[in-house]
Amino acid sequence: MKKFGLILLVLTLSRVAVAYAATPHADTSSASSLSATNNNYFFGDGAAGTTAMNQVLALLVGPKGDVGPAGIAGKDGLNGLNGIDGLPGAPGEVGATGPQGPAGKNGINGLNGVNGAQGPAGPAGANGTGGGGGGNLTYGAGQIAIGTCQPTADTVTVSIDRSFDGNEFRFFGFNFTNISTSCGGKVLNVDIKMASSVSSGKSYSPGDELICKYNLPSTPAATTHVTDLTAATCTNITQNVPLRIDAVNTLDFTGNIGFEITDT
Amino acid sequence: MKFKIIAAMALLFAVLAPSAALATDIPILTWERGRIQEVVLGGGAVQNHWTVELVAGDGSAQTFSASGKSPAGYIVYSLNLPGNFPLGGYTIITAGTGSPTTTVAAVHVVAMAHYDVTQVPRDLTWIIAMIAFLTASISAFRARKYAALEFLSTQIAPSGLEVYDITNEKSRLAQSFKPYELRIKAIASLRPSLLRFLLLRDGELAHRISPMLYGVMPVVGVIASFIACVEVNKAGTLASTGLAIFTAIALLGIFDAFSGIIATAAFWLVQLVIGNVTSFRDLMVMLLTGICWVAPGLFTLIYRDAAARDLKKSFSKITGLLEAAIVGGLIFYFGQKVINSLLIKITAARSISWVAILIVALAIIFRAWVDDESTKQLLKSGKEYQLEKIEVARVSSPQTSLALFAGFFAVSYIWTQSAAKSLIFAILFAAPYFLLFISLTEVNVKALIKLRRNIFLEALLSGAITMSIYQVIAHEPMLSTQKSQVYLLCAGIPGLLHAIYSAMCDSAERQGIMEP
Repeated sequence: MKKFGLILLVLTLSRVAVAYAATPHADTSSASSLSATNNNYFFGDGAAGTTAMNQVLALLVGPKGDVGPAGIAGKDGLNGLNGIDGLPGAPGEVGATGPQGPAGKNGINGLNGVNGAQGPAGPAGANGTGGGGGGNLTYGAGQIAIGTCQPTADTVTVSIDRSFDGNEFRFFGFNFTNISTSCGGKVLNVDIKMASSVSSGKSYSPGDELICKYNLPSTPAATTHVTDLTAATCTNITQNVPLRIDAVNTLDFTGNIGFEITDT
Repeated sequence: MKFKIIAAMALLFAVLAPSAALATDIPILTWERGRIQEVVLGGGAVQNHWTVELVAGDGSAQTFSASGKSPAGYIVYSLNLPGNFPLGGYTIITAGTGSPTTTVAAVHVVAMAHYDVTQVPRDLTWIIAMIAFLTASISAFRARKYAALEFLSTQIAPSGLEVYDITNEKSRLAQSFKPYELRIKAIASLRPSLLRFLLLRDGELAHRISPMLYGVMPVVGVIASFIACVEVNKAGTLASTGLAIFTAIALLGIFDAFSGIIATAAFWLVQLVIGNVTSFRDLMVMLLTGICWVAPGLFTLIYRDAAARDLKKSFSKITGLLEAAIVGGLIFYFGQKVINSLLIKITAARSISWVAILIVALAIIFRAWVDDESTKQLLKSGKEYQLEKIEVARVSSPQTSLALFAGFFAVSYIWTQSAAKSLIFAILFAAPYFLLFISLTEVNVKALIKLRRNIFLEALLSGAITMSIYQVIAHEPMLSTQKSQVYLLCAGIPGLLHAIYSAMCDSAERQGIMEP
């Protein structure tokens, strides 16, 4: 058994040697021949790795290149969504003082106050004087009964002073005769109602009502001349604007003038 | 005339127009599946965290795994293309930080034509680990507790053939049936050794079944080898021959190792005669084919006997049987892998699956069961038998060690094509077998007192360490072939260390420091 194995091995090696000797060899001087062909004794005729397969890919990462030229501008984008509201801006400079605005409307009357506690009874006072009265007068001059502080039997005579300015007659003043001393210190009110049509360029309008107030002296004279009816004492209460009585055309009122003496 | 002008213009355009391949200006590679494929990236590969992908036509991508950085600054990217990887065209894409994704190459993946085990790390590590496992088994087998081997033999002693005894049934059979006589004479020609004992032990089952079968089995081996030769001839080459007939002869070898040896010799002789053995590579293929047919059966016997000494009796039988089955199956499987690695071009017919391990393992278990049953019946039957025993003085002979040295050198040289590296590989892997003859008488290590030898565990540890060595170098920036060469140089160290350990244990046993 051992001998058989030995003979088999010798035969095999002989066969391998013969095959090696019989194989034509390439010129070993060339680099291409230095391949597995020279190892035929080991590898036989078909050398491994002669086929061009399983190549190892070798790559070299180069240095970073220069920055390229700017690209072509892109197309306009789509419309954006609505933005969020911005922050409030800084306060602007203080502006110049504007013209004075019109006076505001009268406020609503306040509520009635709470009644105060009843005070102690005072000493008996002197007999009081009568209150003011009132009357009505058409344009021109005449007599009216004042009443109240004026004894009923004593009538007051009223006359109207006019002045002509070259274009029209205007009120100038009023004359009151026989005002009772009881009415001294009270306020004399003159009430004039405008007609439905008035002259142009006036500070009153048709239908306006004018009131002039005059403080009577504590001891009225026999004839009281009321001439100083300026913007301080006369008011267009319809429009709530002051005016002078000498600016009113005598043709513009309704023809009736009201007089009234009141405490205030 | 007009047609001629148009044709001439078309021809001119075809000649002068640049082709698509030139325009793309990328290399076109051909890669085999079933192995590691690699891309080496130099320059700023590390800084830019480059990734490499193999992209299929449908967009699916396989990412290459990167190695560590080499001192020269390059990185090796590896991708294992499994054996079932879809064939066809692919592209290699690279991408790095701050760099555009670039197609750097086109790849045509083809079926494996040449099995280069150095480019299949998984197979290489398993094969080398298996060699380390078997080497450690042989080293450990020198322990004194495994030295005494015996079995109940019904075979006729070789001396019975010197003068035929007509009163002896076996002697009469040997006189009248030539194959029986030849077999007994063939074994008798071997000097007493572990191999001779194992051949007798392995053939005992056939003899118990029928002495006639015992004589016929080698003839069956010869016939089976002829069939294998016919199959090889029909296929054209061994590389194109299916594994069915080789597996069948391996089963024959498991049943009767001597028949496996005869089949190997017959197969080798026929291949030599018909001119298929013309190189050292072919010689190695023949030897490895024989190892695949014989070794599973022989190692089965070693592991079964060793388990009976290493483990408690209650479960040594089943454990030893499982160990033997696993080892036998792996020897056949990786033996075929080594054969594939030596063949120039292989086809799909040479692909071997884990089913082969299962078939061989089941055959080993079945044979062991029948063997045990036959022993029980032999004791009950009162048939004539004798106690065949051997005191193993040395596990291996110098001739065997030299043959293994030459074999390791040849296989490594075929794998690496480097004589220097192959020499180192052969020295490291054959050294344990030479150490079997060396007794370290000076060693007096009392730490060995408490140690108990266990063949399977020691071999398993040696194989596992050998396999793990590859994991250490797997991430080095080297090509797979370079890694394999480094691995081959390092992988012999665990087996060598174990052989030294075995020698120390042997010395301790001889000095009485360590119990056998």
